[in-house]
Amino acid sequence: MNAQRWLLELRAELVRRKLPPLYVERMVGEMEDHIVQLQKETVMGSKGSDRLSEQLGSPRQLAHDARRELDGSYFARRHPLLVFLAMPTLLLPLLTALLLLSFTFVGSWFVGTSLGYLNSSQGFCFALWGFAFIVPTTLLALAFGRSARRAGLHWCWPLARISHHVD
Amino acid sequence: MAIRKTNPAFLNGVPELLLLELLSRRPMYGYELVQSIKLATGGTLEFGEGCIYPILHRLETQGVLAAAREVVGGRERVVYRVTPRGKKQLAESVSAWQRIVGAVNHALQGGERERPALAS
Repeated sequence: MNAQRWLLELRAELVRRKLPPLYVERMVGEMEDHIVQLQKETVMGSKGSDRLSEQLGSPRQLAHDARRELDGSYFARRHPLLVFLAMPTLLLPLLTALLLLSFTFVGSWFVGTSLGYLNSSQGFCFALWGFAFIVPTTLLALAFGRSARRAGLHWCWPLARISHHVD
Repeated sequence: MAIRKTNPAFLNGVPELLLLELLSRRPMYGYELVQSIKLATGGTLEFGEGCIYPILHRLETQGVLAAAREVVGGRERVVYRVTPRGKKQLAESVSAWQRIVGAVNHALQGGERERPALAS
């Protein structure tokens, strides 16, 4: 039961440090496997969680290390302002402009064809502008959302980060 | 009771180097790796055994290691192996380590590369 207590403490520390749930499960699973093997090959089984902390490191220290290593693993975690603020701010107008340019190019091809009348229709222009704004916004939201999810960042992470700096 | 620090300051980067070197010889799971480190270093290095897992996870994220769930010894375990990128990094790390060891040994043996100018 002492191993269970140690593992519970580790899980609690990992969760407290807001590590991604999948990471927590994997870390706890691997540590459990390590402990099982350790108990099989040594006589420490009955000596308790203190002995485990001596052998493996304390749950608190391990969770601290895990947090530090995870933070260092992802570019998004090391440079969050660049990734989630500067990059979307630059990319959104750039992508919109590119899309509008390509529409203009295609539109100019339509002029002179039987579909040319579409270019001058107000509805078409409105749809085009809407499309040129919605598509890049959606693409960027998906891309950065995926990046944040992979890095294990919660949506309210920027606020947490700011409060961490204030502390 | 003295709880081992998981990664003493002067050992920064050393577990990583050892993990890469040992995994370049053959794929291993966590516990096996810890035993290999003890065996390979003659038990000289003391560290909290758990500290290797966060390092392994980081190295995997960086593409230096690959991990796969495999049944070993009747249990499903996460087995790590070095990727081609990891082999390249290992070669660079070994070279850097040898330079550092050489430099520190040189200093410990009283060697001086250049004598600093003394203020008159």
